[in-house]
Parts: sequence; structure tokens; C-alpha cells
Amino acid sequence: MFVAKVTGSMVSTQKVASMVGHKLMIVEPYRIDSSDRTRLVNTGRTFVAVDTVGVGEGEFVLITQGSSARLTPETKNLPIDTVIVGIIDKVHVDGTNVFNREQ
Amino acid sequence: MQVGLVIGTATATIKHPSMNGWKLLVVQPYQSDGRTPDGEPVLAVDSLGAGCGDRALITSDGKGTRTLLKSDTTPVRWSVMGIADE
Amino acid sequence: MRIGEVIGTVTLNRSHPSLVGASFKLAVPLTLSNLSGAAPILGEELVVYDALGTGIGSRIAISEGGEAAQPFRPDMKPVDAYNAAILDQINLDDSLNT
Repeated sequence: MFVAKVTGSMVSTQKVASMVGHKLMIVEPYRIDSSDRTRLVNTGRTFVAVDTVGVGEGEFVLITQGSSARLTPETKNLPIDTVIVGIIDKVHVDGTNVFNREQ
Repeated sequence: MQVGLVIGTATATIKHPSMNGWKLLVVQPYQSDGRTPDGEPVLAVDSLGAGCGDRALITSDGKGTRTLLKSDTTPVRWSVMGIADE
Repeated sequence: MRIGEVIGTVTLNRSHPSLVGASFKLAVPLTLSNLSGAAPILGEELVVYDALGTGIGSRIAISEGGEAAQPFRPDMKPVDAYNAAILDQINLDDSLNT
């Protein structure tokens, strides 16, 4: 899994039938700054992910990729490879808080 | 499948129960020049007795590894399926 | 599985129901030169499902992809990285470490 920021949603009217009713979010993976490990930095990549949790724009979320993205009752029959499985509260690295949802 | 050099072994006390009794090898795949590491080393279970310095044929077939370990729930994917002749 | 070093934790505010109560760790996959101590650990970390109670600084076996969810069968959990073992010792043959 990896940490990502929700930067938007995607609306698609013309889509495969199984995807009707599933919310698609634009997410950007973040990583720990490897030089000092004190903050999250944008990787510059972007994915579209199915939302199983009910997330909002700007939130940091946990993403699962690959065939494991289909391992939920909601997604098991969907043609997807990226899913949002949680909203992140805190990220601690080497004992330091590098992300806190409250701040 | 990839060929990698067996560069070491790893031991673990706390692990998934399916791994009990299995030797874990540290195997480094190399690029075609035979010298540049191709990605990170992988941990593979071994039933053939490969040792350090051997060139091992490793497979990422999870189903084959589950059969080898006689476990439907093992998280292990890589196993040694051959050792290259000299 | 790759070898990873645990550097941190991720706490969830809300999650998919199948992941409630799960513990997640941040782990950086280690290269050969990380293992031999020749290079600093700069790889891109991943979030790993941890059922073993692993401490920061431990080295672990990270199972990835579909196999990472295999231990939960027949239950389904959307997990693509799983801590399969806490490594006590990694013995490298130094003569091969070129």
C-alpha cells in the first residue's frame, strides 16, 4: 500500500456497466522525503482510484494496488487495480510526526 | 522466472507459520551484464539445498510456492526451482 | 518477498471495514548495497500490513501483490503488502558482495 493525497474526483458518464455507482477519485502518491524523513513530498505521479471509504478532496489516504484492489465485497467484480482503503490520521517516522490530519 | 546469485541466508523466529522449517535464501537477480543488480534482492524458500555462490533459478509463481509449502495461506511467492550447473 | 527496514507507522482515521484494527508500518525495501552497508537507505517506502507487532528499525520480509492477501483467506482484505517475517539475522557471503 502507499500514502496518497486526494486531489480531485473524476466523472465519467460513459463507462462499463459494472462501474455505475462507484466513485472515482484522482490521487497523487506521496512519499517520505528521503533526505531528512521529516515530511511527506509529492512524487509527481497520479492515479485514479475507486473509493470504498467516502473520502474528501485534500485528504491523505491509503491506497492498495494490483489484484488486491479487488479483494473487497464492493470491488470484487470490478475491472479495477487501484482502491482507497482508508483515511490517514497520522504518519510517524523514526518517532517524529510527519503527518497529522488534525493540523 | 529469473536467475539470481544466492548471496546469503536469513533467519526469522517470528514469522508466518507456513514458513516454519523452511530455509530462506537471499537471492540477487542481475542484469544481462551479470554484474549490475536488477532490483532489490529477494527472499526465496528453497527445497533443493542451494547455497551461497550458487546461481539459482527462482520463480514468482505463488501457486507453485503454496503447493511446495503445503499451505493455501502462505504469503511467500518466490521459491527456488533449480540450481544452474557450473 | 523483499527485505525491508521498518521506519515508521501509519494510523488510519477511518478504513474499509475489513481493515478495522489493523496495524500498518512504513518499510523501505533494501538494496544489496543497503544490506552490505555501502549505501544509505533512500528507497521509496511502502505501507505494510503488520500482524507481528514489529518495532521500528526491524528488518522484515515483505510479501507483495496478490500473495500479500493470501494469509487472510478465505476472508478478503484489500492488502498488497504483508509482513511475513521479522528477520533475526541476515547472513551475507561477503566474498559475493561486489
